[in-house]
Amino acid sequence: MKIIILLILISLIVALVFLWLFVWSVKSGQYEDTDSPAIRMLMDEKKKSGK
Amino acid sequence: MELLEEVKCYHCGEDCEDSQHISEEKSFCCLGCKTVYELLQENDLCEYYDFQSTPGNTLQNFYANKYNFLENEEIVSKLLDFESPEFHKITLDIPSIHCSSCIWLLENLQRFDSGIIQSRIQFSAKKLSLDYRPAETQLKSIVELLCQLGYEPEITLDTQQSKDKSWNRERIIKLGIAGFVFGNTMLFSFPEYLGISLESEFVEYFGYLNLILSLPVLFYCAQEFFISAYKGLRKKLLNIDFPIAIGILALFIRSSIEVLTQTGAGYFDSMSALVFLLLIGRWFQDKTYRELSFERNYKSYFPLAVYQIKNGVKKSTLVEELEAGDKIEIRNEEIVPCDAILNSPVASIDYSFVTGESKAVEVKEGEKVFAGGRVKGTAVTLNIIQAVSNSYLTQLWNNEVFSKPRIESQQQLINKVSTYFTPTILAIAIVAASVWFYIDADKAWNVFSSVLIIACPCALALASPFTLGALLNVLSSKKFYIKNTDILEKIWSTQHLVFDKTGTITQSKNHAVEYHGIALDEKEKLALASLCHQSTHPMSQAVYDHLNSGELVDIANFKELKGKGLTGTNASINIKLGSGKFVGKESEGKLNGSAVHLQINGSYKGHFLIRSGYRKGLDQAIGKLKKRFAFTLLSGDNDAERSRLLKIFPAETKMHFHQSPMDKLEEIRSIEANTPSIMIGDGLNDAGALKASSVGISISDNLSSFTPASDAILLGTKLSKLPEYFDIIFRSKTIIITAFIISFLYNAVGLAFAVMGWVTPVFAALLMPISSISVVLFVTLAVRWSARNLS
Repeated sequence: MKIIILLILISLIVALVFLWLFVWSVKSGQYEDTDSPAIRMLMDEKKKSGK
Repeated sequence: MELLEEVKCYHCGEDCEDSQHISEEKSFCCLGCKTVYELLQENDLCEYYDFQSTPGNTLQNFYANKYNFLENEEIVSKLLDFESPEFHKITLDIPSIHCSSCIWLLENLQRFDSGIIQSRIQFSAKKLSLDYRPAETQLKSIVELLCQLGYEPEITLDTQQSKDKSWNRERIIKLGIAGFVFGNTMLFSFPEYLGISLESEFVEYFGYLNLILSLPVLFYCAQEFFISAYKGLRKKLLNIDFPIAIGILALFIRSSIEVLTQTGAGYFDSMSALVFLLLIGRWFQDKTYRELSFERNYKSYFPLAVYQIKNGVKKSTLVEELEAGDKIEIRNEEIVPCDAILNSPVASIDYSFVTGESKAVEVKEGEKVFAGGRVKGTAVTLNIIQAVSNSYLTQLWNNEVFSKPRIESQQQLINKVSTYFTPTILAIAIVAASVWFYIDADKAWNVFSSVLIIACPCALALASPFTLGALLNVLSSKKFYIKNTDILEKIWSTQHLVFDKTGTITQSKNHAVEYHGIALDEKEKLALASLCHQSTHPMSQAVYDHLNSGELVDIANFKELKGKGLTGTNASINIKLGSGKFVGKESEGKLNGSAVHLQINGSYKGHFLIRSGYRKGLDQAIGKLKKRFAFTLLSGDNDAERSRLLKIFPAETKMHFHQSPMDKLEEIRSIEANTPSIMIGDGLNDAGALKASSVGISISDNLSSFTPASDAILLGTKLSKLPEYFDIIFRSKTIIITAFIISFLYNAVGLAFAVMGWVTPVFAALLMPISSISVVLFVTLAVRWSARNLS
């Protein structure tokens, strides 16, 4: 049964890591604009023609 | 009948009608769109059209001198986010960003101007951040480039938007933490759900873990409920947050005692679920539209700087620094920033911005020009008589209506309910506990806390935010933007509709033109149309649209005399078009509208009667609205239209003409003293009235253009849909009340269990989310269903 406590602790730590990542991503402004990065990645970088 | 294929502009999608702007077999509605297309093509940027068909914006009101103030370095440095000699960084608001093509084009700006290093779009906020080298390019030329492309930025000196951003972030973080704790406490409550006995050695640790996990929920995430409950108490009000706060506290205290004394597993899962769901509800309620600005002050309308003439030298000066006695120059299409005396011989001033009246006024030397007027034609010089802060318009704005924040109504439906709800629950809890005290004293405390837990009005609190939030979303997709859900609740109590006339129920583009006089032959019509085409005056444009002729002919000796009319010759046809005096025709009594007189080859032919046209579907809309509302009409114009208006509005409508902005404000106040009202207006002249009414709806023909301070913004073409919109808003009250009844039923069942002393953690963990989620589902589906026919 001891092993279950250990597993639970590990799972909780993993969950806490994700929570921290979430808080960090909100604070760094990743949710401010959810539209343009999604569109931007679909646009091809066009090679500049002889400039 | 010949069926003509409808031709849409390749750039912006407008109808091309009879334009002759064609480039490479593509049609364009105007020269502007064609120019943008050619500009894009020249720079090899036509991929723009691959992302979306007809993505372009029509060019609105850009004119050559508009951004001269950006030559002033002082202003530029106020606007910049970062400044060094080699590098400038700026963020511009561009309301007309609307699709993926916009992102693509605006992020490729460096291909137009090599001085631009990088440009980045924030799509949802409609902002463009630009890095550029000031040595190679200037802000003014960048802004003008943006205007040419149809992305006119909105430049004002007030910056106050950063505040709500951090607030929004905090809310998301709270939501994240509550959700996290909710999930994990549920996991640790599993043994309890499955009935694994407390004998297993590890189960007790779960209780402690849950207790620790719940601490941030209690102290951080649930903060706002406690604060709001406390504020309510201090005002001697039992708002909905009070029973919620009691419920959360009861849950936490009882669970902690159970865990610490090892008598049970507690209700931590229910507690975090409750907070999580309530926070979602709040978030839904507070969602506002970042791209639309509902609050504006007069400063957003005025130019930032004008040319000041000092000792014969012109210098761009900040408007705020101008003083009485200064001499300024205002050019074509620029707005006069303060009350002044005209120093030039004559000027044509368009006050449509202030009064909504579309006819330009002629001002002679020595006469007064009021702030907010737009100069038409040649540049004029003016002597300032009053600094900006003392001008007529600013005085309106400095009226107490604008300085005092509105008192938030305490009449929200939910708070009304909770004033009865909370005492009832407390009474039930106390009575049940005291009864149990005699039956089984040990259980009394259990029953008391169970009642408080089960009665916690989670479902009740969610009904209204989800209904109104869903409604807000539905309406905004139909171009009716409402500031927040409180406004919807205010609409429920209104019984009076106040309309502004010009610009609100009339549409400047939609003129009704009638010709009275000797019939014209085709040649004359053609020549006349060609003549009108040369002028940008709204009256000549209206005549041109009315004639709707084919191929235009050349006009010789074209002359436009400000405030008088037009002259020109085609072949043997000599045309004079303009005021009665100008063509030598004295006035013939009162005309119903404004008249333009016509003279051909020296003989008088007749006149065109131009009346403002009303918006399509207005009469049907009023017909439907009169079941619910009484009407008042306020107009800055004369009463020439009274008889036509009486055909549209019911006979008992009060009509007030010749209203100044101040009069409108006073009229609204006197109406408000009796019944809550909705003011529907446009233009700066209605700003006071919009603010003073319970609900101010501003009408805008172009959502990205300026609208005065208001509670809601409605697209002009949707005005006729207003009855349908109001129907669904009023219906939402029924939806919420039904949801209240459903949640009361849940509460009744739960309370019965609690009073009997049968509440277990599993029961609480099941009942609370089921009641909340079913109520949320019900209201969301009900709103969708009642909005199904909305177009």
